[in-house]
Amino acid sequence: MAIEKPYKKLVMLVDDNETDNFIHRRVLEMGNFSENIIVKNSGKSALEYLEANQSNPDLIPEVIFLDINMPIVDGFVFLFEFESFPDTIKNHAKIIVLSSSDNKKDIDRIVDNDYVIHFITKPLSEDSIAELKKML
Amino acid sequence: MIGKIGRLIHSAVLNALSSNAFRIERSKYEMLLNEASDAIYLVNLKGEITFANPSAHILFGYQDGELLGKSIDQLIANNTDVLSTFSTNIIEEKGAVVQQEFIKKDKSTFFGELSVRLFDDGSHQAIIRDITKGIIEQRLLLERERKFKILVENAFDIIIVLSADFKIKFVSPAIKKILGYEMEEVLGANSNTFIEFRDRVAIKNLLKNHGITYAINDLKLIHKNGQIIHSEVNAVNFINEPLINGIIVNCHDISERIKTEQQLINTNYELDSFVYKVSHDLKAPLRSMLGLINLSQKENADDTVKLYLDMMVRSIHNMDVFIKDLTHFSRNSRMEVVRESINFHELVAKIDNSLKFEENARIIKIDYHINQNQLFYSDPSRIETIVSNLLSNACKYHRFDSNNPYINIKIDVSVIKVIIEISDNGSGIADEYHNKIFQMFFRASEKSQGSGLGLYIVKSAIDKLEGSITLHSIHGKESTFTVEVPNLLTRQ
Repeated sequence: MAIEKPYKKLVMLVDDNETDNFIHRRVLEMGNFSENIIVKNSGKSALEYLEANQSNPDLIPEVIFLDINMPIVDGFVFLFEFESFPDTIKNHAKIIVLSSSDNKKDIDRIVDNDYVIHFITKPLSEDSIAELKKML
Repeated sequence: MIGKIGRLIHSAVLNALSSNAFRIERSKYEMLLNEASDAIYLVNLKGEITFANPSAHILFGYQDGELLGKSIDQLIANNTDVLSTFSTNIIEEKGAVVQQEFIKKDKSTFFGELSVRLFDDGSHQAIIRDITKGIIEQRLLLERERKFKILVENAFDIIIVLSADFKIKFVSPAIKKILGYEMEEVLGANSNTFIEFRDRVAIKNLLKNHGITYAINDLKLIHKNGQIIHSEVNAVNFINEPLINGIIVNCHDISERIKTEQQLINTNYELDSFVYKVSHDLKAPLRSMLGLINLSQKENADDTVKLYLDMMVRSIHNMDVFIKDLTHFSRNSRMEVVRESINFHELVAKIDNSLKFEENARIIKIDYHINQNQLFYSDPSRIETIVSNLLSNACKYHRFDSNNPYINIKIDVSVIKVIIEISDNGSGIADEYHNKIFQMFFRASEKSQGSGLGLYIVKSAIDKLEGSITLHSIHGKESTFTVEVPNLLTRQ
């Protein structure tokens, strides 16, 4: 059986919870979603990475899986900072919010953001990966 | 001189009267006196009653003839000599009419209108009309008026009477305390001047129906200094009532109530935030576990499944810790301070023992220096909470790039307090977070896996014990928490 080509080249996971990063990485690998996966365990380090590589499109992830509830630089702060990034980043990276919240108000508030294309309630599963493949 | 002549005239009159020619006049006179409904008596200059008509006897409750010879003092309620009280009037005008309190035979008193006529020989004639009822009613009315005035003047509410075109006809003194105006300042003014313009339309309704009370729950009045004063207003339209001819308005200051309502709203909001945060923080580990279970179901390799199971245990442990933190937090805020003797050597040994569950504890050099030469009384569980939380934080957020990570615990017990100092060469805390770290759910480090409740609980416990906590820290280098707690040795 031919090995399916990974759907994306580079994606990034942003979550302060080690376990969740582990799970999501596994699920992405099992779903053959991406060739490469970067894991950042803080909003701050994720922003720093993007800023540092803004002129290098190969290193900018095509999809960013973003957690909301993180200390100091949480999902909202990340989105706020993301807005002021250059277009090379903004047009390239699509943001999917991964959160344990199923609170409608939260979801509405987030989905309102221009750069968030989808909201998934944790944990990331095979089914949601399949759905994403259809979407993107 | 007057007396002597008077006596002479008097006896001459009597002599004249005693003659036949005047006998008829005298009997007519006597008839008048006896049939008069007013009490009439004659008093000589010694103050003795020389004559009293039947009505007098009835009025004073005496048997027929009993009054003769009695001293006038017995009939008069106060001790002042009646005649001396009226002396000036009487000498000039020969008579006076006054209100006087009298005493009956049964010692009860009544009010009478006394009309006195003085004769030249010093005797006087008195006619008394019982006006008790009138006096009593008068007094009652005065009392009622006075009471009412006191009530209105001292009422905490502003009482206003408005004319049909909403001008202030009457206002009570409370307007000074509540709205800062003197009564004179507002009389005649249009009441709209004192109402916040958006609320003015509410009082128009007052003109609709006569005699029905209208209540306005929250009317915004304007204080002389421009401040808004919230008040509850009740008003009744009595324009058609001739006695009032106006709208009676009662304004009750509800500033306190509004403040309490706002506090309640704030508290409810805090509660909602709390519930939201808690439920979120409890859901997170459950979701992680769900993810791990999903992975395990697809996994065949035993080792990997074992790994997943270990990770699930960690998630459960996190939840456990969180729930324990919550319980501590709730208990701390509610429980009374316990006063027991504390041995810091024992306390520290207990905490040290539980540290072995803390991951990093093994690689950090932990040193204790305890100086306790005397009794220390305080709340053991709260002291333990404080020390163990600070210690576990020091472990959790340590740095391992230095070649000798350490934590030093110094405890100094004195008669008045204990000083607990926990210092480490760990990650340190940036200056801008020094105030925030004690807030509920605040996590200052990206590495934080905790609930954000630890230092909040520490601060709450310290506050409850009336102690203090200070932080000295350099980000990336070191931290020292210094806690002081009073010794309850001398307190009961």
